[in-house]
Amino acid sequence: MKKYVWILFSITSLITKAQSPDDALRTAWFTQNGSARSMAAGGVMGSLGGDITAASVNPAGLGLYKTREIVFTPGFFLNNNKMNFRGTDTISNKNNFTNGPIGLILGSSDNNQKKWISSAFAISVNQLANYNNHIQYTGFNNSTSFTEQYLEELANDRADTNAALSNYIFGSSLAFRTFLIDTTIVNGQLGYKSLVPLASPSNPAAGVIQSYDANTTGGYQEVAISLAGNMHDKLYVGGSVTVPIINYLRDFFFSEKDATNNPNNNFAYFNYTESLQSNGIGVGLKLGVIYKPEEFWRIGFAIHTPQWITFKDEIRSAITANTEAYAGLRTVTSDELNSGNAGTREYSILTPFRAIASASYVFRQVADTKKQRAFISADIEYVNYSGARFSTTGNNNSTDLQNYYALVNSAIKDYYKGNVNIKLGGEIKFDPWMFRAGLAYYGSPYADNTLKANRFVTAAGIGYRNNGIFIDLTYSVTFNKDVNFPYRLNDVPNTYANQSGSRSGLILTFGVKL
Amino acid sequence: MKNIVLPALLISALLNGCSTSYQSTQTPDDLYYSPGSPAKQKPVASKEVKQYENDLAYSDDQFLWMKVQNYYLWNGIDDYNYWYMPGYYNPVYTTGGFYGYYPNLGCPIYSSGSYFGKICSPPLQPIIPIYVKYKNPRLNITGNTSVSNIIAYKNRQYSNTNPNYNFKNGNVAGNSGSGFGQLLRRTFIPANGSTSNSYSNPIRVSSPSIISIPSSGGGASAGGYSGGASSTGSSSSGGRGGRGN
Repeated sequence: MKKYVWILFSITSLITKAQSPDDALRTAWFTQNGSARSMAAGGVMGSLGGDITAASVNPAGLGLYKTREIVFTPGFFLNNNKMNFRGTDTISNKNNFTNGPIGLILGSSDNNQKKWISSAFAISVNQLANYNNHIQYTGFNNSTSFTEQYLEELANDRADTNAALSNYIFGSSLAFRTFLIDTTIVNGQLGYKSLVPLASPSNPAAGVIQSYDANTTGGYQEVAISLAGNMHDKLYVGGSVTVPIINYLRDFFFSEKDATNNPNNNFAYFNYTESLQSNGIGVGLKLGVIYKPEEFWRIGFAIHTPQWITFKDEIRSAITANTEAYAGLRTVTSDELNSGNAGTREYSILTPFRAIASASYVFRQVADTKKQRAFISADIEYVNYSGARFSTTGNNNSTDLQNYYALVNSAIKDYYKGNVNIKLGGEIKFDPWMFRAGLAYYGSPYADNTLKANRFVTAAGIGYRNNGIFIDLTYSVTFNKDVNFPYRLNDVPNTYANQSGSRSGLILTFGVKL
Repeated sequence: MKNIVLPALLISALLNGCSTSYQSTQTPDDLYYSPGSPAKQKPVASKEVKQYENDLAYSDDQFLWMKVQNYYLWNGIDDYNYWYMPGYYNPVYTTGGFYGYYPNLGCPIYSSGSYFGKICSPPLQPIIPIYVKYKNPRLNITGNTSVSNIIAYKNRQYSNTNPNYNFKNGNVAGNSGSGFGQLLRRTFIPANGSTSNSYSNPIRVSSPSIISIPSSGGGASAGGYSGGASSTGSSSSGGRGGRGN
């Protein structure tokens, strides 16, 4: 009876490979998104204010509003990725629509007898990160195999064949059932071997052609409900209650193919496919101040508390392997092993803390728009990427899961670091026309300096403001440098692809003064 | 066609309806200066004040233009008093909007209701960055939690090149150190000398060894968790069958 209870427990609580530090970075390392005006100026909004983007950066900037307006910001991006994997270059592209801030600002200056001479309320939706992308690369590898992560998992767990068959239905069990990996005995010790042939002194030509293809969609939308106050046009204080809403879909394909085309080496190819859908919703705070020490000058400071986001994921995976004479062509899916259901997981992420300091020089802060002439502004932002934290949520609160997340958090602290993002931009105004340009640099989140990563943004734009409306148009190019690991192993040097390329975007903001 | 008409009507309504307040006046730019809603704006400055503003602005523009044209010629007369002369550009703010300029009295002048006077702010204090220290106690890992793929994030050895093998001595060329020797150690070359098995397959052996390898079939009985996703429903945990095709 005890045995059946254990078996029943095992089949109703199957758990598999899950969150990784990469998932945490997705909610933290992205370039600033905002109105076309802000984007054209490199994303600066830490001390400028008077723009709906302030709700997502420094809510105190909304305190400059004494008027009312409604804003729409549609956009379009083109990703152009260049990947180099073990000496082989691959290019992939993907277009997508996006949105900057969409919202309503209600400024008021009714408080004639009070210290706070005006206030503003705003509600907005801004896509902070856009996940639409297509990363693809291929290359020859004679050193390591994707399947080795399964060997490590089973050996590390000291899993017997029953466990290998059933406890890892989104990875190792699929490989084991398709005979892509199998048991073996070495010097009297039991272990697991991969059927994938790698190079050796006796067969230096062996190896596999590895192909990686990840198609992602979705985005990180932030709903911000903001309130800001204005003390004598000198000091502005504001805050936003934010509701992050994340939708992320990833169709992942990875394959290894025998580079020698030897029909007698027990391996022809395997394909691993994975479909992941991740939806999250949470809450957070953004607080800031802007101060005018003297005419023309503004300085700003803002903090973004960690955003507490609860996720629910669904995952499906499958492996097709052709091991030639060893076991032939086999396909096993996680659905077959899970009554046709997707695997689910629920957890929470605490995103990294951010702090922003900024200064602006605004030339002619006068009522007559004909005399408003220019601004230049710079932001410096600190993001503690190593501060992201996973935790259990709801009923999934077992000790095993808590231990698992403790280890993931430890890996995050070790793998990432804090770094700064710098933005600089300006505008020249010849009412009703405005011309803008800006730059931004986003530092690497990786603690290991060997891993080269950064993002460099260049942008320019034009704006028109008259007859109660304003239209801003911006073209930006973000040059990306990053690394992409197809899999990770413990006891051998890991391999990764170097990513370069760019994301160019066209953003339009249309607003109406109410 | 209907798909186009409705959005067009909406946009037209927005343009013609919502923005009527600013169709006969300047459209405010809150980034520079927010005057408040049109209904609450105070009367505009007197004709004399407006002329004074225009003269100053015109002078500014002319001087800046000349300075751009010939910096060395005009920079010499860029004296402090020109830009900071008494009376220049000391805006007076009221709760209702902009009122005009007053002589430089050292501090901005504010008018609020019956109060009219100077407000001198204290000198700007440096902003001290705030650092938040995360405190997450590390838990002792107990039980069979499979975390090999997470621990692998701590492996900081990388190799993005394919090693060339030296046939004569059986060593890997150009990969001394960096732990690559471990790869050879864990690859498995069958000892029977079979020519068809002259390739190497990666292996991993548990240490201490797995106690036993039960026959295939039946439900899960050993091993551990790898954290994260839980499946629902009953698992079809039958064996994988024989290797024969």
